[in-house]
Amino acid sequence: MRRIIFAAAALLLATAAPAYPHGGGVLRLASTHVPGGGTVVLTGEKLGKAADLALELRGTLDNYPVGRVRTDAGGRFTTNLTLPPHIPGGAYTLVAIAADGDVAARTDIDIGTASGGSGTIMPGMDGNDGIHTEPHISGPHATAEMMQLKRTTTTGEWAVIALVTLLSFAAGGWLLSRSRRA
Amino acid sequence: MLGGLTFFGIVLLIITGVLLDQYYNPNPVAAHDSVIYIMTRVPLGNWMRGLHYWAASIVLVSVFLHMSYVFWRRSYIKPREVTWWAGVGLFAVLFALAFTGTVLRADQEGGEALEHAIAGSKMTGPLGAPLSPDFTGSTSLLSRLHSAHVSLLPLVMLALIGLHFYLIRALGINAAEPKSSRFSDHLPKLLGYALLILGLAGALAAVFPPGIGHPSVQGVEMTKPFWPFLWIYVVENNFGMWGMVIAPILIFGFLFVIPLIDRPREGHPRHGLLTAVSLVMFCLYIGGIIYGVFAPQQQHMGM
Repeated sequence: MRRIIFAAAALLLATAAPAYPHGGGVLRLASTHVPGGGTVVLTGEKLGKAADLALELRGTLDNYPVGRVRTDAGGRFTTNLTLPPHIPGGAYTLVAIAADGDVAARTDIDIGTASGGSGTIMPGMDGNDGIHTEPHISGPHATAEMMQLKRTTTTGEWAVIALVTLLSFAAGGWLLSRSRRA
Repeated sequence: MLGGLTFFGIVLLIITGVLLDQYYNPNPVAAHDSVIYIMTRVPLGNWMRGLHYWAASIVLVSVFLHMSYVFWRRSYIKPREVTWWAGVGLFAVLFALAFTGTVLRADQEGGEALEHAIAGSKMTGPLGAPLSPDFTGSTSLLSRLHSAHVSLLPLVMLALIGLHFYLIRALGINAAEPKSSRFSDHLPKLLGYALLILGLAGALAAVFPPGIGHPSVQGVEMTKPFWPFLWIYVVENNFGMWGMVIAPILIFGFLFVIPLIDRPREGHPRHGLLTAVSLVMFCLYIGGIIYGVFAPQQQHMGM
């Protein structure tokens, strides 16, 4: 019986929707495809009344602050959002961040290169099939070289890696020597 | 022992794969960026990806050695043909997983692998339809390959592993070994080697983490495939795109028919011709991989 109660409780917890203090806010863009440096009309509603919000573009590689807005007494705002000109093209999420740091609303935006277009869809071929070229470079230039990425490993991460690796070697060696003796 | 190590490697691949998949985005527009995100911003993400990469390499080596040992001991002969076939199926599924995993990176190498697959699918007609971008317009081929990599292929793999283990338990490993040998007798030794493998993969992932190429550009061939596919690459160098289709059919077809050719006869060794053909295949496979490392890069599409 106790097991059934635990299982039911676990199921309830798993299906329960998390509560967000700023949930329900809506951001709308006049266009979801905007070139870098371009301007787009952004409206917000169902937000906190007379609240200051920071707008930020969240990409896979980096985040870009793009300004601040203040909602009216009805929790709405309208603004002309100008994107940074040198932002790498790609898929981003535009978020409105409340004063306490919580995300109050979000919407997706596809940012193209400053010269227009948001990168080219590659093999696969047309439409949504295939792989995307690097949008912030002008024209495709293929290379077999590996990307030079800044892959930093913190001291804590090194400690975990060393611990797992050394423990595996030690435990493995101990088990083998034990099975040999047996 | 090698089979057990392969299994342990697969478990490691599943664990690291599940973790990596929490951050991977199969949308063609975002896939490459999400891999970079894993490498640069996810805590331990770069190491986890390295573990996945090196575990895949270790598993492909161990499964090859395991099959070679089983062949040498003739453990495939009646009544263990199905055990062998399940193993051959697993070998093929592991190749499919390695292929789909390469494509998911969405870099130049992944893009070229995808283009080869599409070209292959056109050559094989209805059989290759699932690898065609025209199969459906509702989702991308990359997304479907991701689905194959994380669900379809692992399910087939686990089913084959289950069948393989069941048959080993029911029929024993080899006619020369007693069926009564208990798994628990081997467990400490197996676990010991498995932990050493984990340590090795962990160290390799830390010292030699795999990189990622630049985003793919269509219609250009300038990379070589992941090393397990280099033997196919060499065949392509010499026979064009059809080599990509025919070489795997030849190798896997040969592995499949081995138990049918080598029928057990009391006191008789394996037929000399089968041994000779197997040795040639073995040398071609290994030699192909080694040659592929040094072979000049070549354009295959349109050959």
